[in-house]
Amino acid sequence: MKFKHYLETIAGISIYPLISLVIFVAFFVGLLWYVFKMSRQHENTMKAIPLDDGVIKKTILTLVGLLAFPAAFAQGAAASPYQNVLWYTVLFVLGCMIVIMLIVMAQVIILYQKLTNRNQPAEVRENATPLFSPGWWQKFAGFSTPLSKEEKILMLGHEYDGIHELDNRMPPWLQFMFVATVVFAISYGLYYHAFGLGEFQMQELESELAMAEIQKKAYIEKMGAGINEENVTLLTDGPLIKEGGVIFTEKCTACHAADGGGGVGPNLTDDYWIHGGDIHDVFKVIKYGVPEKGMISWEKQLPPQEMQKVASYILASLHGSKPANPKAPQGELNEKPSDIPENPVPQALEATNQ
Amino acid sequence: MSTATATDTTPPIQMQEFEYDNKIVRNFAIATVLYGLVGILVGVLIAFQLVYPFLNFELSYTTFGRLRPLHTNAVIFAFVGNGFFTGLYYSAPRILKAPMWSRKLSYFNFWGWQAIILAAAITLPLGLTTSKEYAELEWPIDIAIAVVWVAAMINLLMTMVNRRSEHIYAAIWFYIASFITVAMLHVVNSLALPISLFKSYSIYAGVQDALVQWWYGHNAVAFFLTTPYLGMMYYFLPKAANRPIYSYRLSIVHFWALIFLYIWAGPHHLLYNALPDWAQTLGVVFSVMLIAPSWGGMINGLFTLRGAWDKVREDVVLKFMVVALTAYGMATFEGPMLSLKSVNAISHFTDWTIAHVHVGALGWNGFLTFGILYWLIPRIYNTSLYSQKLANFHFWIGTLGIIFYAVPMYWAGWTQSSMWQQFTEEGLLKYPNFLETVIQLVPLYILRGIGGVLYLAGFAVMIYNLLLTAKNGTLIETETARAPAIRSIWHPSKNEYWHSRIIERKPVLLSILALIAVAIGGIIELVPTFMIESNVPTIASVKPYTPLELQGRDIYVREGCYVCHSQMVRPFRAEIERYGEYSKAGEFVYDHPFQWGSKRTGPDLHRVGQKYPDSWHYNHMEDPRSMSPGSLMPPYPFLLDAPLDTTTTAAKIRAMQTLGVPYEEGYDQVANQDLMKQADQIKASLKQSGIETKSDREIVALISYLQRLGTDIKSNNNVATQSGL
Repeated sequence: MKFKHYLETIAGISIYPLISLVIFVAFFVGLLWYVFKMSRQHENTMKAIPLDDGVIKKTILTLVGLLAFPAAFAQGAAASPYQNVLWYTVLFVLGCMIVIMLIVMAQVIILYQKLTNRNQPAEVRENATPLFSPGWWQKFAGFSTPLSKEEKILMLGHEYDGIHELDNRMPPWLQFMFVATVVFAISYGLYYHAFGLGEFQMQELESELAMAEIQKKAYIEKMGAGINEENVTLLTDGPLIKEGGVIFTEKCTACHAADGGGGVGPNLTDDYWIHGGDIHDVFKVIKYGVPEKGMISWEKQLPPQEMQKVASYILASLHGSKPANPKAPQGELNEKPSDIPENPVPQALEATNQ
Repeated sequence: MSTATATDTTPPIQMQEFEYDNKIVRNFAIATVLYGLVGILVGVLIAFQLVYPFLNFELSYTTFGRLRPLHTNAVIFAFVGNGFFTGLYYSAPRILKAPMWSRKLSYFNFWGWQAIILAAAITLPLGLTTSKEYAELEWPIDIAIAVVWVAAMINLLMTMVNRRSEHIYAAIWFYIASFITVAMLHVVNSLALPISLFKSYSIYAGVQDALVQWWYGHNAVAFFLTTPYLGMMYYFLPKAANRPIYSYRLSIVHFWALIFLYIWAGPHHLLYNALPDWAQTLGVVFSVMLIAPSWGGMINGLFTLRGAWDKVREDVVLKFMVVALTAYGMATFEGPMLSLKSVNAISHFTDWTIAHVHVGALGWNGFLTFGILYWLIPRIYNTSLYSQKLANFHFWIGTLGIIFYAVPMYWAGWTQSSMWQQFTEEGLLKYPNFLETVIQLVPLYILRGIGGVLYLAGFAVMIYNLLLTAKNGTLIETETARAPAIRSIWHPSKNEYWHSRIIERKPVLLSILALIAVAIGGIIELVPTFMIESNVPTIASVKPYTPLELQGRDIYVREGCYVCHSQMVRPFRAEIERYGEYSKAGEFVYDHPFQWGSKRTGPDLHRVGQKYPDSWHYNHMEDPRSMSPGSLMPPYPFLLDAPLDTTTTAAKIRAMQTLGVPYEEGYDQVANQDLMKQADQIKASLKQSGIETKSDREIVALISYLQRLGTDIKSNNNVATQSGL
């Protein structure tokens, strides 16, 4: 799932590329707004300005200057691990600017035409409008017929309990949106099913698991080999055992009771152990669980250090204490640590069934 | 305004006099308000049950699992259903200039529908359910729904045939398409094999059942909550605003596009589930294509207000309608976004979905209904609204209620989903205990409950306002209207559009074309899933349930466990770590009905089998908080005492055999022996942990089912033999 990694990257990234993006977008939205809102009067004043004032030159120079800025920024950040994100940011900004530049150029060209058409009759000149005139927006939004001329598009014979219908054309933006979604749908289908480019859920899972494996390995390499049932040792450090007690209270008391006296699970305070009573055995039972008997595996919930703490808490603190409501002993008497049997589970099952 | 008068300048030829029935409109309006109140009340109750489990009252009838279906059914079929009929019986005769074709059918519709709702209100708390969401009612009620619904459809169709207006208006297209499609969806999805008066098994299993269910479920939203209300919008909005509809063309295009595309989108409820990839792709792309056709309705409504926006500031009816349309636009944009796989991976199974549907239900359906009622009641009572101030109060407190509802739920959905998917550096789940992710949401659940209370308060104010309005006026039981017969005015204009000539003046053809439009998507998606075996790869080790497990499964269904627990581990690393191997299509082949669920208020249960000891489940059912402190699950102490009804075992086995589950010939006769054997084993295992119980208790059957869940594909044979196979 890619989105998750996006989140991680965004969390770690410096805020500056985002700020720059916001600044650029704000600037260009402003520019766009300015261009679209350009009024007739303003045009008239523009007419007075000689062409060689350099409107086009200025515009292009400004844009080039703006282009150069993020490019420089990108170079500065090239060494950072977030190069890709930055690269896409820059590409996106560039893309936006190119589109905007084209629009501005078109606007300028139309203005230029208007100015050169000065010799033509007044009517022609007044009817020439810049691209995206207010009228264009009205049409695009779906209001091509003004309210005052509504009668012209009233549907004849369509009268229902006083309700009439207009025959407005559908808003072009809505039509474009529909076409765009259809194009998306077709491309999506082709991308996944014809070209085989997209990952289906099983492939996605495989890559996700592979990625997790790499991360885990890297972590282990960094931290050194973890604790396992072979090399685990009994902790004797008071505070660590106390931490084990906290985990015990949180996770184990439902079945083993708060004082370790047992309930659904066996009593942990007596000298009888179903699966062996030394630190290796207890750690192993916590880690893998005993699914046949209902002890769940904690491998996926507790990191090894925590399992070591709980195991130590059980052996150093609970074992030998006097619980309020002890459950009858289960398993074998095992006061001293013994060797770990190959597969202790079947015998233990036998033992409890007797 | 409300009486139709002939405004034609041409001399009236053979004016006919006829009557509109306002009494049926009034009746449906009363039912709408009444059931709306019940539905919202139950909603508020179950919202707080999720915070304070004692509100389940330790009674089987009032647990969340049984009341949540009651809430959804009450709101959808009782509140919105009656709301639709209110609008239909007022607007259709006036648009078509003809009284409803049959007064008898109208009243059959009214009383039949109320009887169905009553039956639902009784059977759902009793636990009589099919467990298919928004189609929980058992087969006799399903048949009644089909009969009443089709009767209403015939009534409308015949009114269309006997109309006095040449062209048929868009509102009516939406009405008739809704009738046709809901009839089709309801019949196909409800096909089930009864074993008794109140118990049946879906004829579909597993993946097929899921696909049919969500083909139905999604389109119940489309054709029960959306298109009927769009039809009503097309009548009541221009009436209230006194403006012509913005675009006839838009209404045609968005109508046909909407009904054709909607039907395909069902599989988006099953993204990343054990559903073939091609079906998921169809679900995604058709959902995305739905944005513009859905917005067509909103745009046609909002643009109709062009030139009347000054009225919106003054008129509370228009205010409600504008917010309704805006909520509709938001929900229909959000829906397609939620159908994108990467978004769905976050939102599915969380409260995000709950937020989404409530923007639709509270905003679109609720507010449009309120707007219509505030407009309609004064008119049929020939008076003016008792208090504009109170109506305005309702508007604002209702809007506030929606915000208080939706925002915390969006937050909750996002929070929980993020918590489910976070890993520590060691590669372990950061929140391995599911409960942690639920407790985190409790404050948000409280806020949501407050939102519900605000909305309810507004609703109560509306009831008071409408009651006093009715009291101040007198009901005009019948309204007389005059119009020429259709034959005498048959002079369509020459420049009439082709579609008007060949479709929109021909009610039967219009209905048939609508049926074809809505049938295509369903056929293309459903038929291959049934016919092509590769869509559901079989797994040899998956075996039918034992008789005890089958009984236990029916208890699981009865208690509505699917309301909070999914049985669908999605193929994500986070879910595999948390629950175990992801769910495979072949594992569900004997699941009549499927139990995948759509929401995880509790953890997924597909791999819960053999995870905990029997005694854990026993204690957990008696009091969930004894095993999981802080849990929000309702207690089920009554399952510990209730004796298991084993007289049904034989019938259940036979029904399963008919549906293709491979029990041996004659197994129904010996099934109860196996059942008792397995029950005794569980009893013995419970006794080992110091729990004394009898083998013939419901809890034993439920434990056997839970312990079986998801274990068939585990290689460990010991486990399988333990569960009695």
